[in-house]
Amino acid sequence: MMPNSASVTLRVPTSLSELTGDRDRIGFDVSTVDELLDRVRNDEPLLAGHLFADDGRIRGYVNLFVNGVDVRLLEAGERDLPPGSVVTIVPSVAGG
Amino acid sequence: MGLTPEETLRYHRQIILPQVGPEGQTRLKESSVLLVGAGGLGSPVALYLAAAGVGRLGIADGDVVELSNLQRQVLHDTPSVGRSKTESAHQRIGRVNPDVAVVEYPVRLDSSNALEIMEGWDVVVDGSDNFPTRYLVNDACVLLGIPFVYGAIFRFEGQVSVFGRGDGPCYRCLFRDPPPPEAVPTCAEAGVLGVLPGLVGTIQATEALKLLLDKGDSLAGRLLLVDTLPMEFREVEVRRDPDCAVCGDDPSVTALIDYEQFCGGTTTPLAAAPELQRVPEIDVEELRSRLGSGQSPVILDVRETHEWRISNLGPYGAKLVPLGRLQEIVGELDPDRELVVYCRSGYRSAIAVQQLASVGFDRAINLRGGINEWARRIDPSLPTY
Repeated sequence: MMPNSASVTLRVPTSLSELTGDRDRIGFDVSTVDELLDRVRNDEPLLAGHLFADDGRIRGYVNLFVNGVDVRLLEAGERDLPPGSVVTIVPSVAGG
Repeated sequence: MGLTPEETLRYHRQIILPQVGPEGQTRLKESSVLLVGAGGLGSPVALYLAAAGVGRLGIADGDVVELSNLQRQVLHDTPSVGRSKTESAHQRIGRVNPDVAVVEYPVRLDSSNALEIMEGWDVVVDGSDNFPTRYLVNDACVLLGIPFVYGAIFRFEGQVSVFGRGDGPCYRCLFRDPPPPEAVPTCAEAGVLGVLPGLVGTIQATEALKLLLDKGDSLAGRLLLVDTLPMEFREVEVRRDPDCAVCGDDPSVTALIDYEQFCGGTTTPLAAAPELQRVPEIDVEELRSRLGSGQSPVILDVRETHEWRISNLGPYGAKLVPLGRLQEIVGELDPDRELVVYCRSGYRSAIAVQQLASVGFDRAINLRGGINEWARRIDPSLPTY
């Protein structure tokens, strides 16, 4: 579970939890999307490797949703993360 | 085409719903749904759509029923093991509702047959189990103008949405690119909770019925995330991407492509043949003894950077060259030296060996079982993933 002091929760799907030491929720004390992405790059390098291409962009087979909205669609003024925000990683899965 | 007295009795509980009524039930009777895959997801979809009175069901699946399917594929039963899934499904649907016409397609969908098989159905339900088929179903549905109900599962989690409906998004709007092979394990490798496809598949069946009846708010534009461990249902917004390759304003995909190649991560002239042929292999034990004998081969790791960070053969001189960049560095390699290629479990490296052989590298060998096999049998201090 995430620490109580964290303002933002990153939800990690089980398909990627091996990259986070089996944590499915990671708390971050950040206030913008860009701060969050920097913290993920620094603190969770294995997960970051799956999320980000070498040019820093989010890979085409994974999505990040900020409070239900695709992070790629957020305009400059919409990149604040109010306390309690949930950022969800949605991976490609093909099982049927 | 109205309803017979027997049909009125059979569907009574549904007909008395104001949103269905005799008109809606007649509409279902006159409608058709194609199921791509008669596995975990296709099972509940087939059973519920048949029971609900959908007039015609198509079943496309090239597999046979295996014992390991029965933990979740409730359409099939123990006596069906070894029979084709379409035949097994046909028989079972006939027992559930003999009024349903079933069309069997006992083949794997590919670019050569998909448009012919998929044309003319009112709704398609995607219950396939691999990325090439998922992109194929998406592109064919967009090209044919057929809405499709997407569902996918992994371990304890599932995803459901409706794509290709009107101005709504398609699968490629959500996932522009397929993951590299094996970057995401399959259910066969990673496991799946048996009841999960039941949960996700019944949601798919619900969405299919809503589309046929034109009732309610479909999941078009929304992706439903199902997580059974905390038992949570969440949804995120999915918008149509104006730059989407297939449904965007200026699409670059206007006909079906080679989806095996598309999902293999290689689009260069070095690209693998559509069907992977057997390539020379080396066992992990043999590689270990070779490393200590003074006949050390060059070792190439064709995974992605983040996988290298999990485990690698760097201490033995391995060099990281992701499969998609193999062509860029092929000129730096010596074709006269023995070259051992590895990946996570041997699939991508087999593609790499095949590609290298096609440009004159006769001494390229695939490491059987990949780095995970090395971790299991040679160096247990390395994590497997």
